[in-house]
Amino acid sequence: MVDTPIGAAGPFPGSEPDEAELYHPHSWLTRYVFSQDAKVIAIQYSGTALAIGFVALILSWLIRLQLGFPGLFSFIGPAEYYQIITMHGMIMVVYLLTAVFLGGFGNYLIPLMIGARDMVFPYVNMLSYWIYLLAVLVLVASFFAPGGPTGAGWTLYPPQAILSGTPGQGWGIVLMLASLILFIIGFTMGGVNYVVTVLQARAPGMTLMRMPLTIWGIFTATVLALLAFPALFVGAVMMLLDRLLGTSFFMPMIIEAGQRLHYGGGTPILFQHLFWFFGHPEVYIVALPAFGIVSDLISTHARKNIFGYRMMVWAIIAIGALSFVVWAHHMYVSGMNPYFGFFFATTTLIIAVPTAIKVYNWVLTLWRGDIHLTVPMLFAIAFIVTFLNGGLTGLFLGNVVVDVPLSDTLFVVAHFHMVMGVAPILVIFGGIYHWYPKVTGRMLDERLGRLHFWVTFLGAYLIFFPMHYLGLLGVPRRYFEITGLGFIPASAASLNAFISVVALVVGAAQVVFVVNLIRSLWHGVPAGGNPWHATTLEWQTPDTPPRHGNWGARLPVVYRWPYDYSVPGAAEDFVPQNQPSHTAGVAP
Amino acid sequence: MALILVLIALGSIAFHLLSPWWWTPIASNWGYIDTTLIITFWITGAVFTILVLFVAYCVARFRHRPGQQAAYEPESRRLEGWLTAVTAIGVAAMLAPGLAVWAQFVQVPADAAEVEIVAQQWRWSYRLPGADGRLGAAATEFVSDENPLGLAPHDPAGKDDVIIDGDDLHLPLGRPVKALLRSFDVVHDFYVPEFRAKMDIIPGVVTYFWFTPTRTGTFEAICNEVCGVNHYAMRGRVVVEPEPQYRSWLDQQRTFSNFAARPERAPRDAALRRHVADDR
Amino acid sequence: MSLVLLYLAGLGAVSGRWLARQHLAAKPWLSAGPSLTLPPDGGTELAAKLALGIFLAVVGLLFALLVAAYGMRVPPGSTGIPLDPRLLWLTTGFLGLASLLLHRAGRAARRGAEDEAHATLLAAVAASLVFLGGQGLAWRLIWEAEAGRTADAAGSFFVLITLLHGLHLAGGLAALARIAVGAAWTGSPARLARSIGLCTLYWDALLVIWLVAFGILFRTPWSGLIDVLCRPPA
Repeated sequence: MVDTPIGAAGPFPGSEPDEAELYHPHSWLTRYVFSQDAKVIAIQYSGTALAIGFVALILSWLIRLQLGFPGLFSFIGPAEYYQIITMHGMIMVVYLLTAVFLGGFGNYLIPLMIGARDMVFPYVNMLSYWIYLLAVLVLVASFFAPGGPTGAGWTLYPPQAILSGTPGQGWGIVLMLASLILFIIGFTMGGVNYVVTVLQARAPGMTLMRMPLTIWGIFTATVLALLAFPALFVGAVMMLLDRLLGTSFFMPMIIEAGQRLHYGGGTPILFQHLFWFFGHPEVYIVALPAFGIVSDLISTHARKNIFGYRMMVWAIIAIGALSFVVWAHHMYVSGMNPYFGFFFATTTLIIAVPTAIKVYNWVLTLWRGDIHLTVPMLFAIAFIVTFLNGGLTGLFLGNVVVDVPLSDTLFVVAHFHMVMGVAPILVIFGGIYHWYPKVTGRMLDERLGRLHFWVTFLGAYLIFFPMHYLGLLGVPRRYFEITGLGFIPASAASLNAFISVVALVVGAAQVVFVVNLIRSLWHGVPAGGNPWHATTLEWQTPDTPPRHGNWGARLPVVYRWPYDYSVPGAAEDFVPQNQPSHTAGVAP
Repeated sequence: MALILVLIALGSIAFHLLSPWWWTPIASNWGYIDTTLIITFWITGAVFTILVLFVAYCVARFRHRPGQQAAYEPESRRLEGWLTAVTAIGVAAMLAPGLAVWAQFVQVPADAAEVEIVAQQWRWSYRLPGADGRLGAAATEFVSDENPLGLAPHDPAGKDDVIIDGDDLHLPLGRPVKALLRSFDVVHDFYVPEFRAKMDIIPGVVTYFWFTPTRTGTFEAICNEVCGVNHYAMRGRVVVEPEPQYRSWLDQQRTFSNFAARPERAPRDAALRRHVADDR
Repeated sequence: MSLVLLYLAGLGAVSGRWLARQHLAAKPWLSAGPSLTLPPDGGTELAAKLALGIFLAVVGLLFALLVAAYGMRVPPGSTGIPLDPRLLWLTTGFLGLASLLLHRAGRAARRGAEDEAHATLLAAVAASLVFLGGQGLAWRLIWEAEAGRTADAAGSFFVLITLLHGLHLAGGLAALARIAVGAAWTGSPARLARSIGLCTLYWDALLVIWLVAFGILFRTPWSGLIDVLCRPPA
């Protein structure tokens, strides 16, 4: 180990931002509502996303009620069912997962973990949130629009999405597309900001290879999102023109209900290419921050450095780059040129290698660790299990021939819920249990946390693991009811009913979480500055919760990588990143 | 925690082995797909079990006790190299058979008989070549009440095409079939689980897939790409029967020329059908 | 999509070159101490430039996707758009002029000739407005000729691309107007020069994007090159 003398840690030239350029709130309104402080914006983002996420949770209950007990709930007809599944999917993927990981965790953690005072462009950051909120409101408005929200499936495939055979063809689809366009504009503002902040505002000594994996994950995911969302934007604008101005980008000649429509010449597959050019990187937009966060959770709570840090960084970069050349594996049976299948199956299975390396390294971090089974750690381990399960079923679907019988069955539904639903959400919960003490200064209640964890984890596994087998049987997805199909045995209905009951229980367990969140604000155990004895910078702030500007008078100086846990010869089992020597105490 | 993880690993295996939900008995030549799937199951199942049990071991063995300290080991290039190599081999073992079977899937045998499957919201129709063994040209623009499948009126090859509208499709046993797929409105997908093979149906273009029925019986066909509010009710049936029965069935079907001449067909009011779902 | 992949490969090459200089193979646990390289110190000016660069990369991708979509959607033998291309040559000229004027305004501001910078800036705004007006006129002509809804979609793409391009330019104009007004109030030539520099970059990029779009929508001397790049392989 090379330790430079402590005395060398003088003030670094240019390390202090111009005092005049820091934003100072002047009133209650600018402090808590129109705030430009990334930490407040993070809470606004997370709060909004969790609120709309609860809408999606209730929608999922309705889906399960219909599938588990068909015919029992007369208020769910086929039209309502399709509207429910569409909105559930769209909210979860875009408005909850993307927003929480990048807008929520990204805003809170980027400045704190890299030792910056705030995002580089706080005003743009604030605009980003308000445009996101507007997008959410437009989405919510579509529930109340005449004809209700769109029922086109979250993939919104034309021509179906804008024809009258699909519910919500009037206002619903227009508001949906408008909301997506707004979301993308808002996200682009935030995304440019996150990238520039990571590149430009790191504290002295914070080289890229000293960044926690959380930041690597969020940073790479943001880059992916900046490059993936334009495809959805283009697709959404084109479909909007098809719907409103009568252009025929995606619309071939169509006979609908015996009438010939005025469309002609369009190619529906073009939309699918645009959609999945966005859609596949989107999986990693959600997964990479989860990878990063879970690496830090495991390392901190196993009191051991993350195994193979360099491999982890390279794997994140490799996965990010590869994610742009695999999109058509969602289109093996779409009728595109079948010879593409060879290329995309190969790239898809190649991406499994860096992903597998990440899983091995998490597991090897546990090995010979000092594992504290705290609530965040429980969620992190549960993530490994569910992600492993979902990732492995991805190998079925990525391998082009195996996908042929399985595509658009419940196997696919189970796979992507496991891999980009359950697994990332477990990380979100783990992250909230981990960082809540920093955000509020108080711990979340441990007992309620464990209750929440066990019901959520075991329940989610019980929901989605058996569901794969229904898909194997050939039960198609997006079916309002599966009655009257001879190849589906009657026992499938009882399995469906079982899944539905578990889903109701898991959903109800989230109330425990919300109660815990609110109750602990006042009744939580005071946490102190660094309750988990973590090394990364956000735990070394002078105040908890951190004040505006994060670092008091002087920016931190970074002396080491973020995983100095259980260093032989160190005084304690962790050495903070801003501590000059591993034997001495914290720098003066 | 460790105990629960062990239970998850073992429970998953038990469920896999004991549960009554498994694929439908195959009725086509695509047994290779099932084989590839089984290979994938073996490899992924092994990886899943090993890793989950290993995590369980770690959680039990290295759980915090007073005075315990974690090992300090930033990385091990050798271990990581090995794991990467093993993973790459495992992935290749799944990909290689997959690609080999896909090569068969995209290569339609020269002697395959063409069958056209036509989708529209929310019903299936079929067209078989007539005595000349060829399907005539067709396009969406020719569709009318008298010409429900949009055959080109002046193409002589289409005159003797057999049109099956609102009835089951019959196929001869043991002969390769190339299914040509057309749609008039939105994206559909023709899927018979027992055949394993399927393909989306895109309006404006003709897509295809091929298979050889290997088992007689009546099989249900479903639409497997969301196509509007009655997607779930868009079902059809395929009857596979030995050649003689198939022949006699075929002879009873109407050709395009006598189909168009039949005047008493009620105009199909698709808008009416649309309300079927709402009346439930 | 080959154009898009090519574009992404270009971005990948740039970021790869940058990453290659970041010591990604270093073993961070071996090198404790503050003496490792500091983050690049450029203050807000560099940050703004970087942000604009990233934003333009995203905008560029957006239009690359549109061009790729054009290649996949419009049949090769398309009859084209029923519009006299001379109108668009004219508007193209004005956009080029606006870009040139911005370059001049930037030079003047750096020299400290504030009045000249201001006047040139206004001229650039005017030229940009003429461009937007001309595009709007072309838009209306296409729409009135019912050419925006033909089966070969060439007119639809014209409508779509000019619309998005115009909106981006309008956004730039709003920023430029703010700069012009702000400069009149504060009167800091250095700051003015910085802001104009950013606008110039933005205008140049939008000019390039427009030239590409123009080249694919109409017959221009450079159309052949774009066709090669964006048509899917036969």
